[in-house]
Amino acid sequence: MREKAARALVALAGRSLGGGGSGWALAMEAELDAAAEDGRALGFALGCVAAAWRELPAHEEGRFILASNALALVLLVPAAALLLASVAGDFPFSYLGAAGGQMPLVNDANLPAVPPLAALVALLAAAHLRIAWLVLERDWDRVAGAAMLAAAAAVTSVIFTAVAFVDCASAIRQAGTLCVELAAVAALARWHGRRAYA
Amino acid sequence: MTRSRRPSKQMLALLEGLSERPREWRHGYELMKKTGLSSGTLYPLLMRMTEQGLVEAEWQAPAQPGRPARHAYRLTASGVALARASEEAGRPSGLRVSPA
Repeated sequence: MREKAARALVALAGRSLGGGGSGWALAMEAELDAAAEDGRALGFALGCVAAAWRELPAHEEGRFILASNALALVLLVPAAALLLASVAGDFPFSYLGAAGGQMPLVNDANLPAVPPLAALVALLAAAHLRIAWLVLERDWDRVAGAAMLAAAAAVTSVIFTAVAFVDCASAIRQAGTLCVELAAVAALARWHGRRAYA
Repeated sequence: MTRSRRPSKQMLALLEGLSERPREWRHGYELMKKTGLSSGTLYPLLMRMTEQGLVEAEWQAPAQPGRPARHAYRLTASGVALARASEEAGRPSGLRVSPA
């Protein structure tokens, strides 16, 4: 079990070293047997991962890996978490009221619009998570599909909140944030296309 | 403008480990045991020193069938010179050995 984990970690280290470091990845993999004979496979493998991650900023593919992880884990996943938190909280007040500080008008007339709006916001959050996952997978075709879904959900929520709650400031702000996120994703995809990493 | 930097403690340990028998090829794990460096420190050092032309590496056929080929390392002439210079610099002046 420990040796399997060690092999997986050395493979992760190899992947992090990228195409330019494939020779070093093989060198680490070959030494794993010697470390395993001493019962130190896991420690050796963890060191290899640390070494590979320390090398990330030193080569372009490493910088690309850092940028894509930062985009996914620092921008997209927290954005999804905030959207889901607003749905889980006192929706729609937490979602609509945040923009101008004024509480939204919710009455008998627009109360039935709350569940569909919650579904839309949840869909937007899910699209964020899917984009984050696909960015890490470097599956740009499917990223484009998920981005279209997110854009459609954002535009629909702007129209929906404008009509049902006469206050679309929060939805517009969400759509604006999404535009920035998608611009960053597009820049990353162009970078990937230019370098054509494996 | 070139900048000469004093080798780090870890690099000195690796230089010392490799310069004991400078013409002999050493494997990564053997160097870890010899120098006390972890793989997380040893491999970045080996990468840097190979780039700087201080260390050379070659693939060696496996000792046992079914095992992968292993990467082995030794100092280049520049590496040996640096190891000697570092050794000299680290030695107390009273003990410095002068050539006959």
